[in-house]
Amino acid sequence: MKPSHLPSKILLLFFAIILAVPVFWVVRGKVEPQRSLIEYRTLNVFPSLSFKDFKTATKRVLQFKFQEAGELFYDQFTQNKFQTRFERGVKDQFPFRSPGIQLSKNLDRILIRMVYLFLDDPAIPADMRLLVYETRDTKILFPSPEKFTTGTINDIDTKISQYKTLMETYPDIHFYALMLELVENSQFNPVNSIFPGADAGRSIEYFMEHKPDGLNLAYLPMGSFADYTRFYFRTDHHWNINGTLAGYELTYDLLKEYYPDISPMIPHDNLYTFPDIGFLGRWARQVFYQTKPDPFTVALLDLPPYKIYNMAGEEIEYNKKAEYLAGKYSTVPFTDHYIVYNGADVDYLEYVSENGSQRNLLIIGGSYTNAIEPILAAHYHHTYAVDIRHYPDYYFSLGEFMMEHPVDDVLIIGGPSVVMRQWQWVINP
Amino acid sequence: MELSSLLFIFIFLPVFLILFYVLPFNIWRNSVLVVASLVFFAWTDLKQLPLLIGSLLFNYILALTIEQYTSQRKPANARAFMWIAVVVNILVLVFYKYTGFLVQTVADLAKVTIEYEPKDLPLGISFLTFSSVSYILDVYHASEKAEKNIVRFFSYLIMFPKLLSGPITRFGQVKNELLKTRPATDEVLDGIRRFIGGLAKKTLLADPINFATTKVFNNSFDSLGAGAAWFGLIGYTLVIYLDFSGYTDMAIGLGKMIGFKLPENFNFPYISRSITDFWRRWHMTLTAWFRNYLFIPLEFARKREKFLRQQSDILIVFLLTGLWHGANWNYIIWGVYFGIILAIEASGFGKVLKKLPVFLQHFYTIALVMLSWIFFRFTDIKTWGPFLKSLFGKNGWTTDITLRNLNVLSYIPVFILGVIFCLPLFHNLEKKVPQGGIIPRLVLDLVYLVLFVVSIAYILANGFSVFIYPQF
Repeated sequence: MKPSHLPSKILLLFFAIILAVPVFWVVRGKVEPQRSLIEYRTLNVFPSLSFKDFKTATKRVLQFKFQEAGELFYDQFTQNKFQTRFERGVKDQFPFRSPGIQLSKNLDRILIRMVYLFLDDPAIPADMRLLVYETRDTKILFPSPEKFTTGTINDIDTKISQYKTLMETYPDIHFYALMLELVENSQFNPVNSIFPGADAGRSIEYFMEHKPDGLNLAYLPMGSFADYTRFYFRTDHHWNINGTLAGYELTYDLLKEYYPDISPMIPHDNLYTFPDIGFLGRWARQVFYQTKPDPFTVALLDLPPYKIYNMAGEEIEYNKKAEYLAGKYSTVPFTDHYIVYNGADVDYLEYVSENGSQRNLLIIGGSYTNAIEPILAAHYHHTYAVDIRHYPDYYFSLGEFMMEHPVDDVLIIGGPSVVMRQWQWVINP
Repeated sequence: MELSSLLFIFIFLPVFLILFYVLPFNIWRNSVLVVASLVFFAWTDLKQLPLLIGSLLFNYILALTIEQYTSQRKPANARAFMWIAVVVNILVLVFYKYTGFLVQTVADLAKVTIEYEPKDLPLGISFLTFSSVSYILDVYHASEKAEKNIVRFFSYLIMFPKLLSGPITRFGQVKNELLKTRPATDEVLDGIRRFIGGLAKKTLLADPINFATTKVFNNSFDSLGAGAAWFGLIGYTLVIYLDFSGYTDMAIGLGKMIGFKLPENFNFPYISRSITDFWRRWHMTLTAWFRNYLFIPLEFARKREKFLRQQSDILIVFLLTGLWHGANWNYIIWGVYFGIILAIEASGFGKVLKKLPVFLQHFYTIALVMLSWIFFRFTDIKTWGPFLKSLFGKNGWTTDITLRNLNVLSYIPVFILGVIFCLPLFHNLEKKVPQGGIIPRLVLDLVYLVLFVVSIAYILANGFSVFIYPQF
């Protein structure tokens, strides 16, 4: 090889790269579908084909039974189903996929910083595609504000009238709500100023002014954006242990009003931080951003003995608390420790607590409730936790529920979308 | 299958290239090219595979028939078969691409509702039809001999690099290469550079700019400020060029890797000094096709007519150019718009234009071209008015919809890079590299490799998006 030709041959590495990938797949062989902790989904694998089905289908073709042959084997190709699954497999099984995505996202963030260098916005986008922002100084990730429109007011009015109907239908039941001020609805969202129609606390204000009298409401407000990291994770939408415990204190005081013989508040000052967990939550995961993580702290509580049952009445191990405390947990970045530790969202859970109480509580809410359910359950005999989003067609009827599970108190926990807005959270009488 | 998909780059291409390079005989290599091209087509459009093969066989047989009659000195028969071939090719295109449009137009005129199930457009049918027709006409005019070897004929018409979006290639442009031995290493390396360059243009420039532009265009134009509207229009001007020329670069690069020199399709159209110049630089193979097979024959057939002959021929050609792009009124208007400007330029304005300062010539051209992209981009003609109004400040420079809250501000550096790659700066720089010795070549090739890796990273992150032009 002439020395003068050497540099140009470097491009032959292109062939090495494009060959290395299929060789990797062949050498590695078949893999089972794996759950990605980072993307929170099961990764696609290469679809397989049945030689037996092919043989049978070909026989059917020779017998002029085309429809049968198609259904058995050929339709997957003519309808592009096989091709689509194969291409998904190629993407998900690509070697160095995560570092590749990370590289592109990091390059994007360099561009973003370059552009925003000339602007004095308090927060800049953390991604080129999604509306997730990061504060310039503290690197806190948060979503863009929701809009406040006439539609918002209509939604709130609808929700208020639903509450009124519920309370009129069930006058003997006490209705409570714990509303969390989330950053997307807050007046302290740092990017409110660039979103002219931003909610900026207006929806909560409207609800507070018009809420039905019978609804006992506790509210966990943000006093400032600094409160965001006091009550919530830096990179996740969920509340951290401070937020959870503040929520518990507020709720306890609320419940006590109509439940005077409620057992004493559970001591909750014994906190434990997992030494080797750096928690990167939903926003970090969505934009694939290994920014400054949170410590993962939990409360070590002395709760009365309890069991958890699913909708079929089977006792289940709902969460991984015991495993975490035994030191068995993932340290992979972007692992959703909040969900893994507290338990994932499910349609229905029943806590049965041996604490001498005769009262039953129904908690309605999403993933925020997962962290607080066991503590509240310590004060009730039966505590039911319902996530309406997991019910077929989002249909939930309190009357139908109570035919099997009598309750004394109904507690709705969550952000504005759960307590006062979204249609998925309708509680039918 | 898309040229910028992981499947193509990491499975289809390596497998194909190994087979292609390993096989010792030309006919075997061409056979591999045909099979690979059929697989390439069938992967996305298996149902239309019989139509494709039928069309290939039809053109193969008719070209041989035409040649036979020509050699037997039976020109009437040759002409009859030429017409059969041309009409059938065009009818297939009309059936799949224009029936829905025709039915809708009739229904609108008659103010009735006609039930019509739209047909799936076979992949690359517009490009294939034009290549087939050019082949038939070249054989009829005896400017090319009909290819007797069916494998070589199939290779010419359906070779996968140009199957979906061209370049529209005449048989004469590749016939010698169909007989060639393996490509030289330098040619392959050039092909790799061109392929990576096209891939990077597509994934690192066209796709992100398209994403930002689409975000702007997804808003109501009644509430769009002039700033955002111009951002969108500049973005689309860049996207349409970078996407299509990126595809063409990839196609030409792939061609080089297997020893074919496919014709160029673009020559930096946005530096044109007139619309006439623009159409010499934009989608050059389509323009050449219309010039060779429609404009020149029209001029010849109407040579006795003096009054506005050339102008009306230009108008006919560009009306059909517009129609070729899609079965919708916006494409027809887009074509007629260019036809009128070109006719005016041909009537003497072109000469006046040349006397103006160069920057004014550029400004005139780019302004008219950008205006044309509005007609091209928005298939719903009703949106043109509100968009033009927002463009010229009816809603003010800025409204509640801003580049900041659409989160597209960060795309400005990509836009700037896009503009740079619309100019011949990098191209001229690259041409000087071989004279600079080993180090600049090495550096440039390393840059290509880095670009390749980064492009793949972006495909992994955002998924590949389909090219714009195959839909036409």
